[in-house]
Amino acid sequence: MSAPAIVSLLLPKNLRVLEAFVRRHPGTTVLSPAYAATTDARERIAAAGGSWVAVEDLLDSTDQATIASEVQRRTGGLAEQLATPAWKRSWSGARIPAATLAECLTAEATDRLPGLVPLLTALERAAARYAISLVVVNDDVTPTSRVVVQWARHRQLPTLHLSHSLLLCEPYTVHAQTHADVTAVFGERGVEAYKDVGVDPGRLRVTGNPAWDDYAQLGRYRSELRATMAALHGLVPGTPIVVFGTTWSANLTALGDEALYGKTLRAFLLACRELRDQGIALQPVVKDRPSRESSPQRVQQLAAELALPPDWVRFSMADATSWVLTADILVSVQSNLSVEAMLAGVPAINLFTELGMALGPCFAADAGVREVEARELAPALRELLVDDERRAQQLAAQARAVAHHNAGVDGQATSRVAALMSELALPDRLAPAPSAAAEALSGTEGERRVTRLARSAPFPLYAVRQLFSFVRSRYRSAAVPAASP
Amino acid sequence: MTTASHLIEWKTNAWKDPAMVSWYSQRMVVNQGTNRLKNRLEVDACLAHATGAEVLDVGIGTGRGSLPLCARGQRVTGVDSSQAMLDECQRLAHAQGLVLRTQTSQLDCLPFAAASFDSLISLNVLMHFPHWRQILPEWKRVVRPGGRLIFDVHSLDHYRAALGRPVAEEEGLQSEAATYTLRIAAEDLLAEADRCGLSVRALIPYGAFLGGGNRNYLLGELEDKAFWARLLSFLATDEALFEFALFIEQEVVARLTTTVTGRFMAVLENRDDRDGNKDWLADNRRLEAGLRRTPIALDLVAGRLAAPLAELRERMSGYLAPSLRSGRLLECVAARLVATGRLGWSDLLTAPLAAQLADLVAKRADDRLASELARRLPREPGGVAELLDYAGVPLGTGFEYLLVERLLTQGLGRFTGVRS
Repeated sequence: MSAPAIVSLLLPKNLRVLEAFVRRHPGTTVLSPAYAATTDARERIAAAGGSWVAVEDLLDSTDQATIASEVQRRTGGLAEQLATPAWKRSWSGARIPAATLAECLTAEATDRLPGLVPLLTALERAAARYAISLVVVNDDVTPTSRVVVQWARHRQLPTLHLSHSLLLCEPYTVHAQTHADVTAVFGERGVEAYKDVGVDPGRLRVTGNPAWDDYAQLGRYRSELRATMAALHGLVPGTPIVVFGTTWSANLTALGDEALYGKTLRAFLLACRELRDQGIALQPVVKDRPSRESSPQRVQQLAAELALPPDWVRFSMADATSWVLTADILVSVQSNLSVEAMLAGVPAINLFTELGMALGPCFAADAGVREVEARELAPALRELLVDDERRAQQLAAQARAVAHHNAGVDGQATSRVAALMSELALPDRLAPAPSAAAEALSGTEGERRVTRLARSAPFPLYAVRQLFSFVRSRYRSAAVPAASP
Repeated sequence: MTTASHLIEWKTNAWKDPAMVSWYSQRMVVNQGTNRLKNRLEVDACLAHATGAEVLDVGIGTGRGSLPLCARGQRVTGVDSSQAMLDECQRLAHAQGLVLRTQTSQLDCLPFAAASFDSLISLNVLMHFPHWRQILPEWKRVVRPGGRLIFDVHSLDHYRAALGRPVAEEEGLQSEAATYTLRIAAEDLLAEADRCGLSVRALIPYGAFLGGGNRNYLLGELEDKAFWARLLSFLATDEALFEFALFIEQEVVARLTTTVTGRFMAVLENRDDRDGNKDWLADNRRLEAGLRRTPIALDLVAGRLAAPLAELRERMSGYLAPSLRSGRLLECVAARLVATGRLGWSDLLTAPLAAQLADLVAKRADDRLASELARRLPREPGGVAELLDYAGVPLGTGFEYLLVERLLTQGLGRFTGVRS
C-alpha cells in the first residue's frame, strides 16, 4: 500500500497546523513545492512523527526534458494561436484591443507555465507514489494554489483553503470567489465577507487563525517583550510607542491607488508631528514590509520632508507580532494588524482611505477599532494617549468584538484546523490515529515516537521561545534580556 | 398563522414583562445602530406636528416620543397596557425633572372624555395590531376638533411595489404573532379617514435605510449585506454620517410617497374634509407616477421638496466632503437608480462630486470587465484552452490572479505600474 500523504501549500506561518495534523496521523508525508520544504519544516514535521518531501524531488532527468519541451510547445503554440485572424476577430468587439489582450495573456503564460508545468508533473508523480488524502492551501486564488486545487479536483481529492487573512474589505475581482471544497475562516466576520459576495456558507467553517494562536498566551509576556524591543531599537520603554503598519496597492482592483503607501505613511507621520508639536510624548515606529516602494530611506526621506528630527521615527521590516505586543497604539490601513491588536489587547486605529471605504467599512461601529480618516488621526491618537478612560473603553469594546473576528481567541485554532483536515481527508488514505498506531508499533519504535512528541514542547513555553529566538536572531549584537516563561 | 384576537392579546401582554421593559428601555437609551436615526425621525415628527397644550400618548412605552414634548411645555398624559412600562417611563421623566400623567389602558378603549386632548401621538404601537379600523375612531374621539393624530405604521404600498404584485392587508396574519407587522396602504388609510371624519395633513415616508427589522425592500439584496449593516452601524457614532442621513430622510425621502420606504408617519387632523383628502390622493398619485418614470420626473418631485433642486444638490454635496462614509451611503442607495437610468449623479450632486461618484462606478465596471476577461481569455475553446490544458487540469485558472492586474494596467489604463 502507498504511504499516506497530504499536499500542502500552506505558508510557513501555518507550519504548526501541519505539525498538529501529523501528530493526529503519525506517518503522514507532507508533500509540498520545493520552496516550502525548508530545513525547519522538515525537522518539525519529523519531530511530530511524519516526513516532508518536496514534490520536485520526485522528478527525474527525463521528466525535466519533457517539461522543458512542454512549456516551449505551449507558450509557442499560444503565441501562434493569438496571432490568428480568427482569434483576433473573436475579440474585436472587446473594450480592450485584441492585441493588448494577446500581449497580456502571452506575458502571463510566459511567467506562469515554467512554474506550473513542472509542479503538476511532480504532483502526478507524487500521486502515483503516495496515497494522497487531502490538499490544503493558504490562498486558493493565487496562481499556484489555484491550479493545485484544480488538479486535486481533477484527481477527486478533497481540498481545504485556510484563509490567508480576514477579508476586512469586500472581496473584489479575484478575491470574490473560493475554489477549494471548504474554506476555513477566522471568525464570523470572515463568513460575512464571503456571504456578501455570494459564497455558499455551507462551504465555510469557522476555525480561527492558527497563526494567531500565540496571542492567547503571549499577552502575559508583554513587559519583557517590550523591554527587549525597546533595547533593540533604542526606544524608551516608559514613553508611548505608536506603531504604524504600512500598506501598499495590489493593483487588483481599479479602485486601488498606486500612491497608497506614501499617502498613508505621510498621514501617519504628519499626525505624529502634530502631537509632538503639542508636546505629547510618543515614539513612532514604522513597521514596514518588503515591497518595491518601501525602504528605510523612503521613510527617512518622508520624515525629513516633514522636518521631523533624524532617527525620531524608527523603522522595522520584521517582527510584526513583537511590534503588535510592544505597541501602545497600533495604526494600520484596512489591515489584519488591527485584529492582531484586538487579540493583543492594544488599541487599534484603522486609517481608512477612499479605497477602504469603497470596499468597506472594515469594522462595525461597535467593534472597538477606531476608524478614522487621515485628518482625524492626530486627535484619535491624542485621545488614546492622554485619556485613560477612553483608552479603557476602546479596549473593552475590542475585547467584546474580538471573537467575532477570530474564533481562535482560545488559542485552539490550530487544533480546530487540524481536526477539520482529518474530517475532510479521504478516510481510507489517512494514516491511523496515534492510539491505533501505537498498538501496532514495536516497543522501541513506540518509545522513539513518544520522545519525538515530547520534544515538541507545550505552549506557551514553546511559542515564547520561538518568538524571542526570532527577535534575537535578527539582532544578534544587541543585549537581550532572558525570557522568563 | 394566527387569529386577530389571539394576536391582539399577545401583543397587548408582551410588554408587561419587566425584563422586556428593561431591555426595550436600554435599547432606546443606548441608541445603537440605526435606532438613533429612527428615534430622531419619529421624535422630530412628533415635535413638528403635535400641537396644542394637551397631548395624549397611546402606548407611551418609555416615553421617548413624549418626554421631548413635556420638555417644551406641553402637558402629556400617557397610557400603556403595561404598568412596568409606565413605571419605567415615570423613572426616566423624573430623572429629567419632567412631570407627566400616566395610567394603564387598552389602546382601543381610552378612559377619557371626548375631545380631551389637542393631539394624540402613538409610536410603534398601531403597527402591532390588525384591528386599526376599530382603533382609529376611538383615537379620534378623544381629540378635539381640529386636533391631530400622529402615528407610525408600515407601508403596504412599499411592500406591494417591492414584490411587484397585489398584496392583501390580511396576508400579514399568516405570520406568527411575534413577527406580525401591520402594513397599511395610503388609499386604505384615506378611505378610513373619510369614514371617520379625519383629514390627511401628511403621510411622511421614513426609514430609507434603517436596516434590521425595518427593511427597505427597494434596496434589494443590499439589505442582506453585512457591509451595509456595518456602514449603518456608524449612524450611532459618526456625526457627519448621521447628519447626512437625517438630511436625506427629512429633506428628500419625507417629501415623496409611501412606496419609497417601509414605514410612514401619518398626520391626521380631526376635521371632515373629503374633498381635501381626494385632492391629496390625486396629488400623491401624480407624484407616484412621476417617480415610476424612467428617468424620474424631477419636475414633479421638485414641487414637493423643501428647497429648489439646485440648492438641495449643493447641500447634499456639502455633506459628502467631510465624510467618506456619507459618500459610500449615497453610492449604495442611489447606484441602482443611476444604473437603470432613472437618475443621474448630476441630478443629486454638484458637478465635481457627481464626477467623483461616476468615476467610482466606472472603476467598479472596469473591475467586472477585467475579472470577466481574466476568466475567459485562458479558457477560450478552439485553441487557447486546449494549449493550457495539462492532463485535464486547466492551467489558465492560475493566470486569472495576475491577469487582472495586467488588464487593469495595460488594457484599461487604471495603473502605471509604478507604486509610490
